[in-house]
Amino acid sequence: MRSILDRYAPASAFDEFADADGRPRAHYEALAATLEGISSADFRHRVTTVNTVLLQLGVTFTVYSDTRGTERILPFDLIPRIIPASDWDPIARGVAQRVLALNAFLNDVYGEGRIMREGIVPRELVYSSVHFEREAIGIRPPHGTFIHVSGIDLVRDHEGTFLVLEDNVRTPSGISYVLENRDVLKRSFPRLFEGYEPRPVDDYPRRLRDALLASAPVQAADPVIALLTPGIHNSAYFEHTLLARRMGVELVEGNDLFVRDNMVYTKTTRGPQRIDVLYRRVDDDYIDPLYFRPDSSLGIAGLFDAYRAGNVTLANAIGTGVADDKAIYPYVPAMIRYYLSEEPVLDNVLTFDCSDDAERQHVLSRLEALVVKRTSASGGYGMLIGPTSTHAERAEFGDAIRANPRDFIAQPVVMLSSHPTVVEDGLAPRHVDLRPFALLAGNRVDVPPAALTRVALVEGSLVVNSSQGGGSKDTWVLAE
Amino acid sequence: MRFTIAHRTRYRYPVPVHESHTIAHLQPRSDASQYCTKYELTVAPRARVFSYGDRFGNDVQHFAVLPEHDTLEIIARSQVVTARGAARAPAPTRRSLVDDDPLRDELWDFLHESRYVRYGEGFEAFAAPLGVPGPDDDVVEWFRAASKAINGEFVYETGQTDVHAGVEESLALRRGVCQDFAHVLIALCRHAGIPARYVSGYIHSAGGGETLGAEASHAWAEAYLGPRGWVGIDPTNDTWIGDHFVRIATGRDYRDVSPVRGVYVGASSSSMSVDVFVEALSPVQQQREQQMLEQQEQQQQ
Repeated sequence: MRSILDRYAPASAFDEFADADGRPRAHYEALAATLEGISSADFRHRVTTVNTVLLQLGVTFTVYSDTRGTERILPFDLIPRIIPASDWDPIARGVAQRVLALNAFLNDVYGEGRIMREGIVPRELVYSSVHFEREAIGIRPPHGTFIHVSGIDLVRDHEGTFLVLEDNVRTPSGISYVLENRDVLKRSFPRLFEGYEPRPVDDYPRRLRDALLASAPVQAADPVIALLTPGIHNSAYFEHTLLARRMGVELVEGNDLFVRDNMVYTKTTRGPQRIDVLYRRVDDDYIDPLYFRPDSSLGIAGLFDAYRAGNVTLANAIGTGVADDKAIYPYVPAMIRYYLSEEPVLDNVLTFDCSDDAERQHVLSRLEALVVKRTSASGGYGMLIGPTSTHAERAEFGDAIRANPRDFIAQPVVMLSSHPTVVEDGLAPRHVDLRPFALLAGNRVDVPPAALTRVALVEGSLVVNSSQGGGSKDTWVLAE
Repeated sequence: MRFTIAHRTRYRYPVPVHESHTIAHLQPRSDASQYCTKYELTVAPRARVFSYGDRFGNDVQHFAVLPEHDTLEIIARSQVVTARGAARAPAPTRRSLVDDDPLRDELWDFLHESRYVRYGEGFEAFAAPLGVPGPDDDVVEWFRAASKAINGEFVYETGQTDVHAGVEESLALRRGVCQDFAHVLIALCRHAGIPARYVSGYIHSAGGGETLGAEASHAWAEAYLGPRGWVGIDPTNDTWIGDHFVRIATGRDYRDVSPVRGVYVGASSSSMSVDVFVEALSPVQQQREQQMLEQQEQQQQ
């Protein structure tokens, strides 16, 4: 019998599944054995089954996908990504450390500004960030928690070392894929789990709820949580409904809320209901037309007043975006040392700051070898991948960098690790990343074993974003 | 000088509106050179008024009127004592002292463009004749020259620019109101690397001569001149800030300190009217006050 693994041949990158000799790594052996026992015909049948299950769920996804098509569904890949405890433990520690440092940074830049006064992070970079919310200066959110929910994007270099590629501390999404992927795989291909007991992911909503409750204003005796969504046209609306349902909290839109005497209420049939914690999936700019974009119909007038008065917890707090500005990213290791007096557990990817004259010259002289990113963009937009770029694209980016150096950083191309992924005729290596999520309340960070693996489905591609043709995998974090 | 001020703002909505939220920057500041002895904000329809201190040190009020209403009236009444003496230039100050000031790093916002203070087209040409002060040049003199340049080139005329006009627009027209004059002066300062901020306030015609802007809230600019601290000039009247000015609020530009702004749910149109009364104690009253003060001092001795 021919197995679908027969022709699996990793290329140049670090492969998650196979070692240098092409043999399955220890934590993949059981999965390899299962796959060996499945014929190509049977496997193709499974792929069809999964697609049917997905189609049933997919109806929900498709209806609510963004009409402009900017974010698509992450197609599901059948082969799970497995992370042994020995890899996960430093990841969880490193992510927790990073989130604590980023949170301390936000308390500082909206408070005393010590790190800028001492010249560790240039004030110029903070004050020129489009996500630095001056209205939030002087406001300390309940318990000093800014970053209740974050997603830290990790990649593995050619040696298999985990590196932080970027931080997402505004309204990171993707957890719904983690929850759905596990359900789908269990239902459609239970045999793959033979010999494994991945740590459960389905308690994520409870853990999120716990973190939100612990973040409520101290005076709230029995805190009420609501999840604020921009509405059905948002690409992550499905995730908002899923989390609200599984946390057992109300899903609300701006129109459902109002502010009276600096308190936030929902309109209900039984009269106004006080809200203490708003897990908001609406960006800062749209959250309150009185203080931010006046044309926003997604927010609530006066919400910022209630926040300033300490009567409502906004998760995440206002102004977190300055911490995941890509121009600030190179300074995160220094923040960890400054605020925590610790060495970073997870390293950054080497990054060139285009606002620095010498580094900019270096970047401009070797654009074809670098990845250039816009500092204020995310989601894989506004990038130049040097090695695959055209002359015209490089010229365009060169001009843009010279015109607005602050808006760009550059990094060497990181050859992301590869993982067996379903293709037309079996399995082939495709590049993956990893987004663990962290939940913060006060000084306590929880990093649930519920991480999202995104995979670049196009051969050779290093861009895993859903907007750029990425897919996702069920990700198994092993207990031991 | 001692002032009694009443500032009334009225909105009328042809179709009733609801859930209006309003922010007011109407409370005169209390600082080293003036003291607000009394302040009261009344709103009709009735609303509970909240107050907070913003990052510029201004006391800001906000309130909400949730039920339907077709008018909104906001009256701020205050009493202020100013003690800056007559308008006069501070001592000459070398530019290098401004650049070396330890506080400079924290004045980032006052050294960069902001919403209404963008250099824009035509700015370089306007700024060029004034030049940029060198390290040994006197910034006090330069600041006054900048004010004089605006005052000489611009025509004070209401109705030419609206409250959302930026520097570029007023430069193109070469006319505008105190707000436009102030924005242009701030732009000149920031462009030359001298921290500058916007001040909203009142001016009383006690200053003598033809006083422009006395009929409503006024605006001018302050520059941070190192050891002299924040120094104000009114480019509309080309004068240093004296006792007949009352400071309400400071910020990067008009946007940070607009006297009244808000949002509401309902019809898109509204009409607004503003009445400001600034009354100084008469010379006879002031004299009497002065005598009382002297008597008190003598008794204390």
